[in-house]
Amino acid sequence: MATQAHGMGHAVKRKEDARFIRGKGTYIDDIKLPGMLYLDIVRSPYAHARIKAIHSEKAVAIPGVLAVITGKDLDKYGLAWMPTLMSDRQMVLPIDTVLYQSQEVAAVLATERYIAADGVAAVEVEYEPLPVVVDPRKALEPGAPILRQDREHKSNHIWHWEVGDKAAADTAFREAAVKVKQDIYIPRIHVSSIETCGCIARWEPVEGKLTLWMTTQAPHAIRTVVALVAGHLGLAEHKIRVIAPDIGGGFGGKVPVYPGYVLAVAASVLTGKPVKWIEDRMENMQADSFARDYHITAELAAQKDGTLTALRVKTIADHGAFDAAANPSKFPAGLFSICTGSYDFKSAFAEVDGVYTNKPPGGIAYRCSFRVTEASYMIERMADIVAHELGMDPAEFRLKNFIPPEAFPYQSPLGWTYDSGNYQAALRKAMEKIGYADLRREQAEKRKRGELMGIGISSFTEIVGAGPSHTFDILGLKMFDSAEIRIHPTGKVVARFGTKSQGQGHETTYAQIIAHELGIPEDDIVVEEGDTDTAPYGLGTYASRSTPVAGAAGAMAARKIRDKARKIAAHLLEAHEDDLAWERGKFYVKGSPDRAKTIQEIAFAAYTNHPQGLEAGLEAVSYYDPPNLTFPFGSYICVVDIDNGTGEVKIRRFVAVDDCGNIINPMIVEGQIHGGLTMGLAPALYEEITYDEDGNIRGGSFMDYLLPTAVETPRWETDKTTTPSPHHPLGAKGVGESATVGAPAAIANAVIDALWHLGVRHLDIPITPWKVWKVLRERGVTE
Amino acid sequence: MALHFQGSLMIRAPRDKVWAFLVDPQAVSKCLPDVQRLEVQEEGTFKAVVRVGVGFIRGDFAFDVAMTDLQAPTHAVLTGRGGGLGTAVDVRSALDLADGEGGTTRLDWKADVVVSGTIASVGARVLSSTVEKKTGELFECLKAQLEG
Repeated sequence: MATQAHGMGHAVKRKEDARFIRGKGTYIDDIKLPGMLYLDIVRSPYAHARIKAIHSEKAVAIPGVLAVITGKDLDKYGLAWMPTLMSDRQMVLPIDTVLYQSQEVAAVLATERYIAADGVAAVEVEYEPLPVVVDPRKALEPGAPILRQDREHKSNHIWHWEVGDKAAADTAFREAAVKVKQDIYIPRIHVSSIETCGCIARWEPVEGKLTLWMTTQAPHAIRTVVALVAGHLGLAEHKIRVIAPDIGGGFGGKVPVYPGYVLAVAASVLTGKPVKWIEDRMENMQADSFARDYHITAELAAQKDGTLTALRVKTIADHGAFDAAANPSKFPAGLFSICTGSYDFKSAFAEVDGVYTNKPPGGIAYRCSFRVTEASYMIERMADIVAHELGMDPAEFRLKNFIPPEAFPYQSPLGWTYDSGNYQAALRKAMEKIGYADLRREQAEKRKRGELMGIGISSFTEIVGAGPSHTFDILGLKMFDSAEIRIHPTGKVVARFGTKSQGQGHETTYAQIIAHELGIPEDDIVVEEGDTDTAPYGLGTYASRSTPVAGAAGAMAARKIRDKARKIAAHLLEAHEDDLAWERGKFYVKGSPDRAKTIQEIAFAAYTNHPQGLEAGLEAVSYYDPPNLTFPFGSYICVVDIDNGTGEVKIRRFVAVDDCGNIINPMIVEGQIHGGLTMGLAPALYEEITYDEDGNIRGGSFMDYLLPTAVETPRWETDKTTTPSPHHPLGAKGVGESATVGAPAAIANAVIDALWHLGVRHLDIPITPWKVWKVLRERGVTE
Repeated sequence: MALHFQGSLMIRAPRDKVWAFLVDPQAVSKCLPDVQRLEVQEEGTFKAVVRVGVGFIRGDFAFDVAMTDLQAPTHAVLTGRGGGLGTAVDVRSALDLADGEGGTTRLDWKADVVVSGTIASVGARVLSSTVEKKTGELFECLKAQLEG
């Protein structure tokens, strides 16, 4: 057994993989409790309809079906509606109207999973179809049907949000020599985590205690929300225990509260028995929170020499039937205001309008820190369009306009203080690695022969690690995070965090942080998360916040322990604290390295021989409130070849140079980037959920929604630069989402780069062979 | 999603015979695909449970059908609403009969079908061809029953 403390920067093998690769993980659906009942959900075939009647007689006649729960039943307990995270409310079950296809209409409770499904099929619902609005622009037109009749404000417009100096931006545009405008649609997509959502609710009537095993990325926040929403029914926060067991992918989709969770809790309270609810794949894709769906109109202003001056962006955000986005409360459009990206704009103005449509709610941060992918994709596409319009090389254009390294910390025109960056270095490294100049020569030669080859760049800037308490909260809960470290007498450690891994490898990286700070081997450290009865309060894992916030809390708690350990060591070594020096894993007397006490010896003394006047034990808690966000960045270069006949795009090479500050575990970072790149490839070329005019979902199953597999995925080439965060205790920035944010624009830019000489200025993603073939045909390239 | 189908066929049988067949739920049901149950209710209405398969979605659909605007023996309208498997289907079909040559009958029909839910969503790509195939089978059966 390895007993070495590796700490930061080592490719320590993932501790959690021992169970995962043996199939020994414990996911929600692995948990089976005695007497457990099963819940299944009746869903609406209509996108908008009035419910005339729900007939449950045939369902309850099926042996094993115990009850059919409707909105009217829930309404008696004040549970037919629940609050969203964004000052809106959402139906748990409808009382009289459904607002999107696959919306929950009734729940069936049964003794077996299959009987519950039979019960769902036997429930007869009479509907009266109502006019459907799927296009948010049409939803804003006068005369459009008002979808949210429950709201006082009779309009499909939810909110308007704007940031920046409009007058300054308008002036810059008036004076600009070069102006470029482009409509860009970022389609609705779905996280498609391999594990769908589900829960087990167990209400114990005697103790008045609720235990909720749940696929959640934010167990503590969920517990508070349950206490606030159902407090009037006797659920109190100290008697609610939320447990997030192993989670098979979250990507933002497991932040919201879905009606199924509430129904399972209600059913358990009703019956006094544990109730399990697990979605199937189609329910997951058709009704759970979507991502993206931004209709953007972007404008860039520049001088003749290609110097960017101003940015204006107007966006219509399709939020579906309820505003159930998962953003920090003060940010209805998330952190979209990072849309000035890596460029030194003098002025910028961005506005977003949220709109209701007959589609499922959502607007979650799909593997990006709250609308950062939307922002990054937009600015990187626009940068390429301007460069091409000016006849400049897109790399040269970027190098000219990047925020210079000496400008950090950099104040962006839309209000952010970028902590650190060196964008030139990352792009130059990517260009060198891929052989940029040679590729451009090859492209020119191929173009002469009529072959289509493109090179696309994306030099993105992320904004992660939400966030500082002065600005960031969710429902008033400040977005700090936490760590509690307990060192036992034999020097072994249990550390608990307020976050929750969904595959990120926290059990390993957090152990490495503690190993780095205290010199205790990773093998001697157990990391626990996800149980609100044991872990300290935290806001959870999303938006790449685990390392920037909870990881920092881990380092700070370890440092508190080290401070106490110094006092104990001084006592043991009969020396003054100031005369001791720390070398990872031990304190020694300065000048006498032999007079030393290891951290393990100190831990033992903390329980057996602690100095008078000092409390026994060796543990610490830290609630870390980050002073700023972190701003990871990178430059990606993609090379595509396009089939002249079929329009198929083939990614020949893709080089990703990432800078996430100091790295804790390079193997995990590389894994995150590989996964993120594939999740960036997906919307660029394959994934999209659309709706027909009646609101029928297209792309609601894996038959139609093309999730890339190893077959579609090219070989990713990764590299890095390292620009530490100046404010993070470890200089780390977070990396889980960079590649998802950065990759789509690199691929789209490569495709347009291959087609620009044919007069193609933009194609919306996903760039399918059909879309490319159509433009090739229009331009006479193919028949 | 809204679908429209129409067609016409010649049946080697007199118009009265064709009419009588078409407005008799028991008779017509012999030609509906995979009828599981048929329940004739008051004049001109019936309930039918049929087994449906579109792509990988298979199961029973319950329909309430009403015959309206009956103008014997020339014109009939059938409206149906039903569903199952997370799907709702609304059908409005018009039938027109005319005498053909030599004791035959010409049947002109059209149908407007609105499908909502699972089948419209995941079966959209195969729905039209599936319905066309089933409709073809239906009329082949009608001919066989009436001409035999």
